[in-house]
Amino acid sequence: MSGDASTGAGPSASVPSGSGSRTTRVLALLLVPALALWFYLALVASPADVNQGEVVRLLYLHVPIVVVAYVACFLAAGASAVWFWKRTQWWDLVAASSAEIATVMVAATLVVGSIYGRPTWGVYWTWDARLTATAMLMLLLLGYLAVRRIPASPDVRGRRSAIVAMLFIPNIIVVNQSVNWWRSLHQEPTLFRLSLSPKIEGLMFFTLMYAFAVGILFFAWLLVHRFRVAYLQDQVDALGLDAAIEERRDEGWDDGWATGGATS
Amino acid sequence: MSPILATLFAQIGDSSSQWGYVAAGYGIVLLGIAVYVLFVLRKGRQLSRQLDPEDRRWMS
Repeated sequence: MSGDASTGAGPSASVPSGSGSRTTRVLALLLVPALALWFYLALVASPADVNQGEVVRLLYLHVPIVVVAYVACFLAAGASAVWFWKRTQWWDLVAASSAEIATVMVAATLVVGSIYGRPTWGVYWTWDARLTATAMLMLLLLGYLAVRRIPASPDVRGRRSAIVAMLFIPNIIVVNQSVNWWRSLHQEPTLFRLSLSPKIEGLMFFTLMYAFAVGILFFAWLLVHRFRVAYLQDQVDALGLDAAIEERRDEGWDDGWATGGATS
Repeated sequence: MSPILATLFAQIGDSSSQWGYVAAGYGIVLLGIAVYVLFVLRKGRQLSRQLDPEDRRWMS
């Protein structure tokens, strides 16, 4: 996944069958032990929390997933902004792929957050500012994916979806700042505080930072695959359209009207 | 039951209950993400079979 739409790498015999390549395989090889270490640190090595007990281990899954979701949303919005300038398929597909991964990650955030909320707050769900803003982000992402499924030319589809993607950033700011702007059941920021002094330290801090790094690596790997699938889908759709147009032309030819006066 | 044993059992029960939430959180989320990843990889294989190599850019 490199270069811009106008240059493009030429076909080669080494093109793999599927969305994998040497780069993705190297990333996957790095990811396997990295994920194993993440789960070892999160579930075994790190200590239980004084207040939350063993449940704090959900923090090492919940927060990195949220961060990946934020990064994916920012990338989708950024790629959409660039699309308005460049108007190329590449930026449109980067935005679409990133937004779909963000949808999965926000859904995962809501699920693990609900499970985390039950033992810490006593409820799976409450209409708290942070939770409600996150649910709104989920709806916005689903709306983005729905807009992309409306039949339209690539340019119209790109423009519509890029406009929706622009709304991701203000929504994320509301999600992130909701615990500061309103009285919230959700805890205040643990790491990204104005005082620059995180509320977490030692192995717990290291585990969280490590989980961020692995989460971003996983996102990069998945994004390359998802981008390629989106590109392949566009190619298959274009071939299908070409075949349909060709078929219609042939039908017209057989009926005789397409040739007009050529026979006279 | 002695108070010490009662406290111990309560702690064990509380801990196992907490581990239940941890297992549910990791299990559901990781399974969901794994299903999505498999869907993406499978879709990539299916689509690439429908295209000639010269129609596949940005693939390596």
